[in-house]
Amino acid sequence: MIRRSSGELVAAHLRRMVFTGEYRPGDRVRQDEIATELGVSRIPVREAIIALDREGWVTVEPHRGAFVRGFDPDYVRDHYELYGLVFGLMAARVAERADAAGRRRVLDAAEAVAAADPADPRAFNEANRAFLRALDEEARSPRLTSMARVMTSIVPGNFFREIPGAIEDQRTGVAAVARAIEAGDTEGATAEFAALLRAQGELVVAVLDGRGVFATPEAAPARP
Amino acid sequence: MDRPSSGDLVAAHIRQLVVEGAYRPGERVRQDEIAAELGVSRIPVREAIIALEREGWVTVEPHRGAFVNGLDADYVRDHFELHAGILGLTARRFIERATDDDRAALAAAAEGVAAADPTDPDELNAAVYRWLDALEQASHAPRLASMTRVMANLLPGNFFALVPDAVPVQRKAVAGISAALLAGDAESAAQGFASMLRGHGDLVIALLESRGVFAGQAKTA
Repeated sequence: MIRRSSGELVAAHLRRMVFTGEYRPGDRVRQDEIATELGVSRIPVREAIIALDREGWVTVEPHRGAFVRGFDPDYVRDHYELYGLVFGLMAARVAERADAAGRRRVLDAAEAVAAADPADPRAFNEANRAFLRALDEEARSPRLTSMARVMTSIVPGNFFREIPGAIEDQRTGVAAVARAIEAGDTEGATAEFAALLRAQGELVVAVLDGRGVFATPEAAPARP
Repeated sequence: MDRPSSGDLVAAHIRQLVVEGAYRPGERVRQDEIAAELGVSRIPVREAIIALEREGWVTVEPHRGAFVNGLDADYVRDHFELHAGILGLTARRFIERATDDDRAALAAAAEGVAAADPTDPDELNAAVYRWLDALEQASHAPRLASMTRVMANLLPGNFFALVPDAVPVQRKAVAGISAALLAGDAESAAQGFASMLRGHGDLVIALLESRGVFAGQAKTA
């Protein structure tokens, strides 16, 4: 694992605050407070803000500060559509660019997802991460790799523990993607990945809605 | 338009160095040198590096520094395909979410592109940006808009001045995509973006090859 910089740790902290609803849409990020709370200087906080701006979590208004972006169900849906696009393109690249051994590695990783205990979110998450890593590496696309890195999850921690029903969707979806890759069907691989992530997005919408995280007209203050 | 921060200006400078071939794939970004050259402190340089890492231009290795990512024909192709995918999703959202006013604004912006002088890259570029802005506003998809921003132009500067052959492709595509959007045909609009950007990608590959920028190519003086 790559050791994370303090800027990245601050960014992870801020993402979690948005996910839990501690930071509301339109809230100004209190940079000094966060620096004190985490015992870091203002520089990693500033670095975190820049990364989060590029990732779409906050909007930086010059000379005014960083504001948490409004989060609504459409935002979450769009996020998962983007995920589906990036991973779908990776699956297509595996079908096009990977050699026989690379394709085999991806298909074996997909089988490991199918074999993982669906009652154990930790084991399932590990198998799924290994599958995504194989896909990423065998796609041989630095452009898609960097895009996947920008797509930090809306759900911090173990997705499969946090989101009920996600394991079942993932098992079905990964199997469908693997079948398409095996058949060399690039369009099918792209379409299956998009469908899988669209379904996951709907589950995330349901969880966040249940927690009252979404912006409501009353909760969203006027833009500065 | 917001005034770009000094970090943004440093990022633009570094992108320029990469596409000019002044920085080679795998090369370490000399942050002190850049700070001295541009007369800024190390902080905006550090900020630029973080933004460029999120945009896929460099890879940061903790305690070692930032290294330029290899640029090759596949990289350019993947970049344009990804961009087309994002705009294709934006087109779908336009059809689901645009109001009558949004649709009128898009139609007006499309006419602006048609009316722009094709021999004046600045005028055309401004019209195309207004059209993209109208599409972005009308699709009500901030998540997609922030992703489009991360896709920052692969070529710094005026695209149509650098790649004049892209002008007729772009004009024709804007007309076709706008018609499809206004007719509620998401599939054709997405295909319009895909074929336009595939064409742009091929032109950019040819340009960068002629500059000797790609990984594995001998550096031309």
